[in-house]
Amino acid sequence: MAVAFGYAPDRKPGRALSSIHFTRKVAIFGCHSASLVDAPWDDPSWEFHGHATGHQWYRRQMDFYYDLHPPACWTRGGRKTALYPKWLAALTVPIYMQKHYPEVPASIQYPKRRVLAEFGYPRPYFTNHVAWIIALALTEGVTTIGLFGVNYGIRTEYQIQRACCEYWIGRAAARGVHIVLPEQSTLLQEPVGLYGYDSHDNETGARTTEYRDKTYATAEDIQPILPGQPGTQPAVPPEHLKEEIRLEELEFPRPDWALKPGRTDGGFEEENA
Amino acid sequence: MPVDILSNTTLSAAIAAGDEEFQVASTTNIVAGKILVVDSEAMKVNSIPTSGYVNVMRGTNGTLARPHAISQRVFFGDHHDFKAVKDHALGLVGDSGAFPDFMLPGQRAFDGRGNEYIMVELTAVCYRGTTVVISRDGNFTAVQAAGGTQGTIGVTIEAATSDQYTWAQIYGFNGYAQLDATSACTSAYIPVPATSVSTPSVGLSNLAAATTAAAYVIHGMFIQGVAVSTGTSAASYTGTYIPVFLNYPYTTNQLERVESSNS
Repeated sequence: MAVAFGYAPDRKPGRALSSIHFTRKVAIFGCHSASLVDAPWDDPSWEFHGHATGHQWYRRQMDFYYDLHPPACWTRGGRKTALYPKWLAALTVPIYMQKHYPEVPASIQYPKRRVLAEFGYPRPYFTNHVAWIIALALTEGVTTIGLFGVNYGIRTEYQIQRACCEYWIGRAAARGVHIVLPEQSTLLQEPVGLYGYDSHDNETGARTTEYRDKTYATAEDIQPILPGQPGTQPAVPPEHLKEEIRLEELEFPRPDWALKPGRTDGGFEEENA
Repeated sequence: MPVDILSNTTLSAAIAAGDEEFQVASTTNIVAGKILVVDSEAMKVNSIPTSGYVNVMRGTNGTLARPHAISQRVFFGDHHDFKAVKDHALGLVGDSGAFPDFMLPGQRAFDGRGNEYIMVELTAVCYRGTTVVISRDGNFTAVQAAGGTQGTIGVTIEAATSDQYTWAQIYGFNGYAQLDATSACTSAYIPVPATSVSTPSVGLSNLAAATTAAAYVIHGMFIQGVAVSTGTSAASYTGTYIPVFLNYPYTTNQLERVESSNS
């Protein structure tokens, strides 16, 4: 369920967006699985903008991808594997990169100079892709920005990128842009409670749990995408094998303990029931 | 991947969510400041009040304090030890931001092609393409498959040694499952756990489909082409491999009559 924050209270209707005579809804996608679930996957009123390296987590093709890393990042193997350059080469959807690269035919140059000219003040604060995407949306004109799969909850992101993301949400909101955040995203809601009024125990004066040192998100609130959830498409068996698999499951019923989609304990619980 | 396993011990008794002091099988190498992980709960060690007991802060690092059963494994180390496991593990599937900080055996993951893997703890030297049987005791230890053992089957995707974590593929297409024999093998053959130890030991053999025999069978593994024999056998290669499709394969300790084609 998406939660919409209200318009900035100081926005005067018909004025802040006076240069935009239409509704433009930009959905920005990251890889935080829990908050991808409620993305408006089938709503044609949204433009879909996503981080290219997260493409396998998205249920549908984006309208625009972004990879502003230097070529050394997206041509190497390792984490992004050798498949990523091939995917880039075959991509037909526009992808914003540092410049157009012949090996990525769909690449278009991100207008960094234009964005910095408009949004470099008071300081050019861009520590993540979301910042660049929001700034581009603002310079082109936008009425609604939704962030799905964007959480910045794990340690390195929290320390380096989260503040910048929240800063840009604030800049957009201050311009009267309607901000949509899924409940599952922790952006703009950590810690819970108003500082001073809710942050300290009324009797002891000790900080409340929410206001103690940050503990970083782990398995309890960030879960891998499981089979059947949006974003993961299990490999499809070859056509000639589908019937054979079906017949085997019929002829040799799978033991309760055997692993299968959704069963992750290896039979341990069944043996110890 | 692979990466050396985490130090671990076990709970000597069940603990409740609020227990901050409890007994473990051994406190060797556990000192104040270490991180303990039981199931998916992280704890920080305050002190070792007496040998065999730990005093901890429960539910740290964003995890939830909850009860744990006797004999559950207690993994311990410093933050960088757990980070090393995660960093190595994500070399396969990429860092989607969707994985827990504490990745332990039993973790499942998909790659970009929809193939599925499970993190296992090897108890023997395995090479790329080794067919392993995964324990059913919740520890997800893995060793070369052999007739008569019972458990989930996976195919390792890299070389690793005992006391290391690695990924075993359990779903999808794998083009490199090593075979213990150089005999002909086609999609009409039936995959079975190895009945004798080859060099190297790779856990997988095959039967001609028309064979009338009692055999241990691997269900959920489908040979998808002819055996490929290239070069000569080596310390890490039997000399023959086959392409297979995996549908969460398993084997039981029951002999089955094999008398019809599975192609």
